[in-house]
Amino acid sequence: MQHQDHEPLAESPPIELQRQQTERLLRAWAPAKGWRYWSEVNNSVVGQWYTGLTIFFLAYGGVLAALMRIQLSIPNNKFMTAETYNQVFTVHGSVMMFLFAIPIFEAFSIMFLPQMLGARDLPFPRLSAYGFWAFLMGGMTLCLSLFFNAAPSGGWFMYPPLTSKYEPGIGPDIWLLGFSFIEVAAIAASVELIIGILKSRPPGMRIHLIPLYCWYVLVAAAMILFAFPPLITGSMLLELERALNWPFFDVSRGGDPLLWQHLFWLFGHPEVYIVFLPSVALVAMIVPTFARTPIVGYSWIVLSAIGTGFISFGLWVHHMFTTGLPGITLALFSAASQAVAIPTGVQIFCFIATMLVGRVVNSLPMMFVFGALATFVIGGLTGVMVAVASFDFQAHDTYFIVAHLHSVLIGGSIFPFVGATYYFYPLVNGKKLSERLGRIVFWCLFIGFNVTFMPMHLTGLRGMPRRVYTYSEGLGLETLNLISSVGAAILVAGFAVFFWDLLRNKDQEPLSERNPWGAGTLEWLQEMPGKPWGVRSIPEIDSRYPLWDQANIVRDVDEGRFFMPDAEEGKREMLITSVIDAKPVQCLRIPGPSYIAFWAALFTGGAFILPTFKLYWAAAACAAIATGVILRWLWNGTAIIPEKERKYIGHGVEVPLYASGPDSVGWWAMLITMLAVITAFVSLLFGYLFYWTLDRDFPPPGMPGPGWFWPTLGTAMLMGSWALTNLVRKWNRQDDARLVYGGLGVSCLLAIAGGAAMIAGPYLNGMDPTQHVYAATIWLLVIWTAIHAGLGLIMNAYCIARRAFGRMTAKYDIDIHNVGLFWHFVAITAVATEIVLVVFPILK
Amino acid sequence: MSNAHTDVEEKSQSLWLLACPPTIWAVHFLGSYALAVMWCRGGGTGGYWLGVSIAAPAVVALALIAIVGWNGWKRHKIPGGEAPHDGDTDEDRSRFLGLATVLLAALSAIATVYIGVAALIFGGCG
Repeated sequence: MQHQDHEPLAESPPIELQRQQTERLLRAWAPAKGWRYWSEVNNSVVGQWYTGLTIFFLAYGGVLAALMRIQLSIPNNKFMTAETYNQVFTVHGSVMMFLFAIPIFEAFSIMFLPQMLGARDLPFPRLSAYGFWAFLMGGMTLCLSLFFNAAPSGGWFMYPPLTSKYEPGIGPDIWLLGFSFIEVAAIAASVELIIGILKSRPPGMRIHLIPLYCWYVLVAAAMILFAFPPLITGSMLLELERALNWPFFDVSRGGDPLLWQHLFWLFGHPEVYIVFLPSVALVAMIVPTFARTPIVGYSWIVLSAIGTGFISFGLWVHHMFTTGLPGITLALFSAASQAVAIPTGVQIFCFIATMLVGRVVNSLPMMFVFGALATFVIGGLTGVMVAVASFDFQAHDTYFIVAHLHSVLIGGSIFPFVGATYYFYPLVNGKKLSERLGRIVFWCLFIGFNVTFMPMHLTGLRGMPRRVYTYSEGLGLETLNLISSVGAAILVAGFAVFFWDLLRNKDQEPLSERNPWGAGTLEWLQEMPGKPWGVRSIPEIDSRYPLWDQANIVRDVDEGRFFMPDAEEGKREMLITSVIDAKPVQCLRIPGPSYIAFWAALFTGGAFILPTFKLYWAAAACAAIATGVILRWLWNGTAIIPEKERKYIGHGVEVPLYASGPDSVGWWAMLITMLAVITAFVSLLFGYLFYWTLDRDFPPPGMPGPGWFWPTLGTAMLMGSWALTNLVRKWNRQDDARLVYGGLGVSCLLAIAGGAAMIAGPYLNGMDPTQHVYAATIWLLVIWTAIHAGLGLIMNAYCIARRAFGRMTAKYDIDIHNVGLFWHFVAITAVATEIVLVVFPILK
Repeated sequence: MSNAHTDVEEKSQSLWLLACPPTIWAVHFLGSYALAVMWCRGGGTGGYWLGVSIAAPAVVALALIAIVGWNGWKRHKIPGGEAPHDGDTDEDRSRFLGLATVLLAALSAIATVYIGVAALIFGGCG
């Protein structure tokens, strides 16, 4: 059956109707005023906060870099002490990676994705706001620690035993706990972005017509789900060792510091591509605009994005070539590291081909694109060099690596980011940045970058190790370092001009014309300045470049000739469409301004960050309050039963206002979140298998184990709870209240008993988690499972309350669907724990 | 599947097909890594037989990738339409998903060959 296209209304709606429609839309979407401004959750507002804060962190990390270059400009410099230098380079690396490079893509996407999709907002506005507040709190904690001489100093990848035994202060705790908090926020953002791209496209924007930016962000967000959890697990292990003396990385008690390196780089290498893909996505938006032609090789670029996403998970050991792994392991990872160059190269050829096919218009954003491609290719080539294990043995931990990674990150992230800022800035407040200042910025950054980092290749090959606070005279390093420091000064000048251009008062300047660059993609529909509703009416899309190919689309959108031109009920609404062909399937009501996300972030932040200062009871109190706040958020703000079943959205189309199960965005959010959670659990299993494989005495002979009885009993009860919860879903549909309440009640009891039985295994058998890594790992596995049982308990009790208060009915049953889905993951966790606890010791 | 024109509808298409070839690569890659670690840890010196134990499954992986790739190729080559196949039709969408599957299959095959060849040449544990 051919897809039915909906053409815009042939006639303009009457002027009076248009006026009423815009008035109602404005009222529904009006930003909160005064102090209430900070309760706003609309993507364009939150996106601006997010981007602004990220740029602040960029400046902060940049100042630290400049301080390092001052210290290294001459040999035996006394500008900084070794300890200060250690803190400065650790915070520089951590800030640039965790507080700039990754979040800038989330910030940009939250701000611009709805515009690119012709959507009013993303499906979970409060989740975006929650992510922003979490990011602010976690990031500021790390940045401020430097002023109290309390920052971490073990390098941005925090290798134990340096960070477990030899750094007694609170620095590493701030890093481990604060960043785990930010990583949770990043996972929240990726849930938002994935569902946004798959489910909130305009009608007709089929999967092969979506802007390439969306493909890249989809892949990067999916990568976050699988890359961040290993780091969260690793951070948890390291923090447990530091705080409670559980010996995960302590060799004398069976631990192994190499496990940290595995978990860290399982995150760390994909992370490079999580940074790079969204940046190259910006390039993919800018190039067709200025080449005045559609992108060449759309499918090939999609291949690049997906292929890079996958292969980047098979590279982590190339950061560990010098740790004494078997030769064949090095060969396998070296081969994969070479393979990733293929998809990375393909997209660059696509961009070059697009420029050749079209007629490139000279413009500022394109200069940054050229700068990005040139710089990134250099970094990519040195990357191929260090992917050769034998070369890496020489270059490892020298300034050659510093030069390589900065070429990749500055070419692959900074240049596209600055170029995109000049390109997209009119969408933020309707004004353009200065062309003249922009050119100064470009040349300062381009020249400054090369003068700083090119000599570092040689500095490294001459043997200068990274992370030393000074060096002696007569080693042939003086001139090279001085040149690098001069280059850094030029870079600083460039950034200073850039920040000035962003911050200077532009009140006197005229508004930019609409679509100032003559682009073809939907975000340039926006009026100057933009309206809070995002898009006046939601267009039907027939092309990858609708502004070029669909005649009168701007007029038709503005006059409300497309879908949902009105807010009849005065509510914020958006359109949900199908994944492949973007057919309208639901009108989703989304929440307006509220402080609830702020409070939720504040108290979850307390739960994460207060343990740094050993304030465990305060942290527990925060966790309890956070749970209460989140329940309140869910109770009042989600799965609201609408006043009518369906809503007319125009063009003869009527869609439901409520959907549950796999049809609802909430169900997908639960699924995606739980994929991340189960990945963290798999990382923990990886830890167990790591010890189990490498250590002949794991489990150690003579040491008590958890036994078979309690884990098996616990697993059986949790499986019972799982089965009952999912039966309740069916019974609820049949509206059998007795079975629903009875089933949920029994499943709650089983969850409590099951969780307790899990804990009973190691507890009653007298396992001491500080004695040996075996006991510590078993304890952690059962606690993990018990926490899941506890969450399941809360959810089931929540469903009882929802039904009792009439907020969940036989027909409106989002809650029980999502809870049933959660319990699938509890069941998987319990069974895997059972296998590890009971079966694996027998296999040995 | 019997008729090329009936399987372009939305309900018969899925993004999961795109993920299949690289997933096959990933499973083989991780399996090879685990095998190498256990083999070398178990006191072996590796060498030819370890290399073969990685390269032989690579052939199986390549066959699976080829099957998925062939499926993609059939979707891509449905007759009709005009290049560059970026129109607003079911057929062009199906062609796109087919082509992307073929390309990912090709990339995954190359990456799998890399792994197999690397294992055959450098099979040693030292």
